[in-house]
Amino acid sequence: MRYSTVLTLILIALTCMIFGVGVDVNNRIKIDRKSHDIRIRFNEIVGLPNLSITTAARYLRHYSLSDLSTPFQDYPCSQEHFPASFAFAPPDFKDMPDRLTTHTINRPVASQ
Amino acid sequence: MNLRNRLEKQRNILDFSLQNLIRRKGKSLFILVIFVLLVSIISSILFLTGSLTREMIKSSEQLPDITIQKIKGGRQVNIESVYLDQIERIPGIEAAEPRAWGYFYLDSLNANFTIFGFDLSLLEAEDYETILTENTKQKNLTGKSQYKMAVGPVVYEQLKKSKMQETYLFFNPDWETSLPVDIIGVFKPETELQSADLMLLQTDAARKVLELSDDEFTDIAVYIPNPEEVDNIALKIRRAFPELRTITRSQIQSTYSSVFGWKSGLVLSGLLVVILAFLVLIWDRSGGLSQEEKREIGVLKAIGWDTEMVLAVKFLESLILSSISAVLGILVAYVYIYWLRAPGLREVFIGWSTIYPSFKLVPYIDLKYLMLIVSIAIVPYSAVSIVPAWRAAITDPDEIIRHNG
Repeated sequence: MRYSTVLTLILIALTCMIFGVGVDVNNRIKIDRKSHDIRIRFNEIVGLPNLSITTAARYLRHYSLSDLSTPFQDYPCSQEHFPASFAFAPPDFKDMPDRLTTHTINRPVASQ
Repeated sequence: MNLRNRLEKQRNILDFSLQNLIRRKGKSLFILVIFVLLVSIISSILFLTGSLTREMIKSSEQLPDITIQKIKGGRQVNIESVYLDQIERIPGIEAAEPRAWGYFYLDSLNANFTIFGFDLSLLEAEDYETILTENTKQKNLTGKSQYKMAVGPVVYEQLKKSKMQETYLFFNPDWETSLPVDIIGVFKPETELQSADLMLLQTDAARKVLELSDDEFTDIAVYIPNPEEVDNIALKIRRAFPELRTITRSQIQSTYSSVFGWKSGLVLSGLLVVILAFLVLIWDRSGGLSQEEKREIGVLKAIGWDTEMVLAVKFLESLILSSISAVLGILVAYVYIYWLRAPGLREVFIGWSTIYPSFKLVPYIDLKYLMLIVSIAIVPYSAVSIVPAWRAAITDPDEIIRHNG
């Protein structure tokens, strides 16, 4: 058999594998669609964001919301001593007001 | 020359290239393995971060429009119920719901549970069927203990080990008595990525476990029907109460998209040294032609091959090797992430915890990243192989054979 024929067979095998992956992706997405409603309802009920992939530390479990009693998480550059902390960025609350601007604004009537 | 002859000529060149690769099988195999490794590492990280980001963005769509926290001394503290009425009165707000949530550390399991207070009686029978598993959905709220809760599947497994799958006793050393809570349901495995460590307690029980006083909550979730008004209302709340902090859903979503970009960038930059070392190794092994290869080019030129044909042979050699490696690398990454569930890389994301989901991810493959990986694998390697071959091919064959003979 000529080498080019062997290469053609290898390429056909690779194409079949790519096709197989495509079918697998499609199947997984179909299964996911079925469970989508369950997750939507669950999220509506609980309303807490963040995936529970990192539960090592409290500030990593809900890193997009600060929680009580975690000392350094409000400091944007803080890196704590948990192993997973190197891989999580601090929350991006870029539109947060600082103390200077909020104190210069008068309280509206609604709050009184 | 007719088309058939031309095709036959190209096929002969292809045969010759393949013969060359097989003749130097040690070198070819080495480059193939390194290339497959490189492409699979980069693809794995991109697949994993793609799937996680997509999952997070999807789960954030049901979040409250604004989450309000109280800040004191630069730290978040519990928020008093007196704010609730005043916030609800701001025009445009549909509802403001106080929430009680936090964490409970269980020493014996070395695990931190997420505690969330919720009025379980508000759940319709339909909801029980939707989010809780078959064997528990029929249970009603008339159990032995005063308090009830639903738990995540991983929490349930952990409690089973401690023989507390029916009723869990919350206890802190400074409490006089323990607090028994009946488990009325387990969240379906489909929600595992969100619910693995969650205990959804009746609000009263959650307040006791979290030791919240009667007029305190953890934060307030605000719902606004008109999305155009969210930023304005958040500003109004901050101006009215400078001690409060507002977090809008769009801020949380932008956190998500930056968090995994940052994360994958960090892992990739950690691997940068390895990737560079691999590239230098490949450059070294394939870039410079060996004496034998130079002599071979000289002989080909001497028997009448033109430069174009010599370059075609070298180009085909590198193209075949790098294309097969790129495709194999992507396939290996797919199997590693979605079939084997990323052993090794998973640990970077989950930390040291004892409670974590099974990492069953839904594939999210971005074609533009795949094209980038394929072009990075194929183009530089082909260039690296062709340039020395071109140099040898334009030199006088007599000189090459004499100097490398």
